[in-house]
Amino acid sequence: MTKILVVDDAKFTRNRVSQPLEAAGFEVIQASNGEEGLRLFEEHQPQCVLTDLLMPVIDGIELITTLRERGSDVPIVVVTADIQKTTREKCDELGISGFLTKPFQSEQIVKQVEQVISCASV
Amino acid sequence: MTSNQCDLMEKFSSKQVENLCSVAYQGTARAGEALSDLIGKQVEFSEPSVAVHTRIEIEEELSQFSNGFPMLVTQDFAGKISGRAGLLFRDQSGTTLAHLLTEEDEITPETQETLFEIMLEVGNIVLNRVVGSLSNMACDQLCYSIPSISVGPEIIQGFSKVANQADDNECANLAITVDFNSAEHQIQGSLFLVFNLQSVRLMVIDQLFA
Repeated sequence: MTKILVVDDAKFTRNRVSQPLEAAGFEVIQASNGEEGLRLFEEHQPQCVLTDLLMPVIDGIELITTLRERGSDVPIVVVTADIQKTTREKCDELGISGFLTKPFQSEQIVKQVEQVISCASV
Repeated sequence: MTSNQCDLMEKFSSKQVENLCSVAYQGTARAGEALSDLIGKQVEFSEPSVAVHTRIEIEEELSQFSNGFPMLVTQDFAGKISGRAGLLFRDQSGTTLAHLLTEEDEITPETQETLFEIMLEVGNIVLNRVVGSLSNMACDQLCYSIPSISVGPEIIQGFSKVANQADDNECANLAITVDFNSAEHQIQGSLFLVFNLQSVRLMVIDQLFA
């Protein structure tokens, strides 16, 4: 089963992201901040990471940067409330595969994940 | 013209006031979209008001809504300009919205933590739309704080000290305020954007919107 790591400090959002993914047949692992996300990434080696940006302890930008520094090319989708163009540019520079702004529709999450996993496997 | 509007005209040129109003309209329109998407129904927003207020005046404004179970989510922003954004849900509106989003019949005191977490995320989404619009218009990168929530009479302190501002009751703040209402769901509240006036220097405004 394809594993997806969902990193967000808001449980409400983690559930909103996880439920449609689980319904679509993905195995979802949840982390409440970047630090926990990095630990669970090493432990589970997911095929895709969905992460928020504004989080305590280790934020999303630091999470993405660390994953790339460790040589991981896992597809990363940013799911954030931050609509700043400069934030999007910063994420693109870090090699993300997708960017969704909150609030999102369940279908968008599943479609985006299927798309980035499909592109990564080509 | 009110005294606050007089103050505004004294501190800013008409072009600068026009720019500030433009920020207010665009930002609150984006916030309205986000709130409507969350609720699933159109939320009506009033015309934004742009004025100069002291800290005491802001606290007086908030004290009108301190009865019942109001909730105020605030988030600081900092960059070329700094300040605090706030989303106030009046009376039981926050609880009503949480019910809608969780589809739970009742949120009890035991599940209050869940209620606050939902409202923090709602605030984060809506406030980011307003402040992000400002950032995009100004081609600037703003840093955001993690949102915080206050409830009941505590909301009065929500704007008691805007980020990076001296502890001065008479210190002037530039405030953009807009009310919202979803009649169908009985959700009412206000959105505040309060700038530290020292950070909104005339030169900065002119540069941002040049």
